[in-house]
Amino acid sequence: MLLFLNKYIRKNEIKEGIALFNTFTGNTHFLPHPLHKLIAFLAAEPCSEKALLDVFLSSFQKSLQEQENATKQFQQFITEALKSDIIIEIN
Amino acid sequence: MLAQFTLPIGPFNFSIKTDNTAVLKNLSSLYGDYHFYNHSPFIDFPITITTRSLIRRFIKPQVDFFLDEFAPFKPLPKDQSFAMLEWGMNWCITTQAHQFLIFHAGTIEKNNKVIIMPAEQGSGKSTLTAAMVYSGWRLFSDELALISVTDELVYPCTRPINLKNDSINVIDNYVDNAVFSTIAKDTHKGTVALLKPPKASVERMFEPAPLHFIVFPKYVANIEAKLTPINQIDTFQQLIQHSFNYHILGEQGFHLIARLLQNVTCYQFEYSDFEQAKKLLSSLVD
Repeated sequence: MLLFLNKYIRKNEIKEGIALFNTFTGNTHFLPHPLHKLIAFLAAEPCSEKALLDVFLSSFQKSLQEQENATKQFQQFITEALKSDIIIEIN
Repeated sequence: MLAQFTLPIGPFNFSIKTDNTAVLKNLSSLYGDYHFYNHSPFIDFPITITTRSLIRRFIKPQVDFFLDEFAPFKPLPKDQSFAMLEWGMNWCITTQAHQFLIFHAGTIEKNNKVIIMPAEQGSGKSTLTAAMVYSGWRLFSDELALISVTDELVYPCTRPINLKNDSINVIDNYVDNAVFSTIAKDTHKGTVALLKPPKASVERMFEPAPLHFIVFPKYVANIEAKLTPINQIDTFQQLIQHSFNYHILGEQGFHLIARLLQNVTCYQFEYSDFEQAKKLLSSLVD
């Protein structure tokens, strides 16, 4: 399964992260650092959830605790981003 | 008899037609520094404020507001006719002037630096704006911040300042020789009076200026005035909440706010004393 950035999403870098606007729904979303990196990565090319998680984890220390917390944060992001149509999952 | 004239205010031309003597009297008093014309080649908003049918002239008299042939509001008691004109003018701008991104905000300028002060009703925004503009700042508006989607400058919409309830006395005591409209009681906003804008602001109502600061004001009794920086995500979210037409401008409004935030500084502002407020806000632009 591949994750895509929704083609209706427009983005703007702001100081603390990224602002996203869905031109189809008219909704605005905000992603703080370091989650904004995921949008930049997905904008370049579709990728698997595993590859995206690896990109995200690379921003954190290698300690088990930090990696666990980051993985939870990532899972929450995936759930919310799919729910709000920021990203789309295609088989 | 209907009187009719054109009133240019900032980027808009209002045509006003009325048979209401209270409206005419208040226009003459509060808009005394404006230029009225008999005719204009171009009208943005053709407004009529008129007294209802013959019977309603004598029994609980009411007035209607029309934009062209359209009546967007229910009639109001005749003693609220001037307030109705002002509220109706706001409605015209906020529902139609989408060449601007419009925020519900007090807007003032000094040294060619505009501060917009977005806030909810009842936050003290108009009271603070009144105190500032009668202390040397230029009034753009006590209600609306108009940011052009083309040149991204803030445009003045210099009009009387809408004060409610206790703030009427507060400003009457604070401003020497303040000129107020007749007071409208028991409106949906409580007791309302409009304050004449400073002449110097009226004379410069066609001069836009760049936005430098976004300040979210809040009156808190007995507090030392303080500015607290806020981050861009919070500012962005609050600006959306205070915008009249972000949802209409859509992507254009989104990119405009993002660009504005690159060049402005944003604060929460708590105050109780006008002198402290003036000193602190002046420190931003001096």
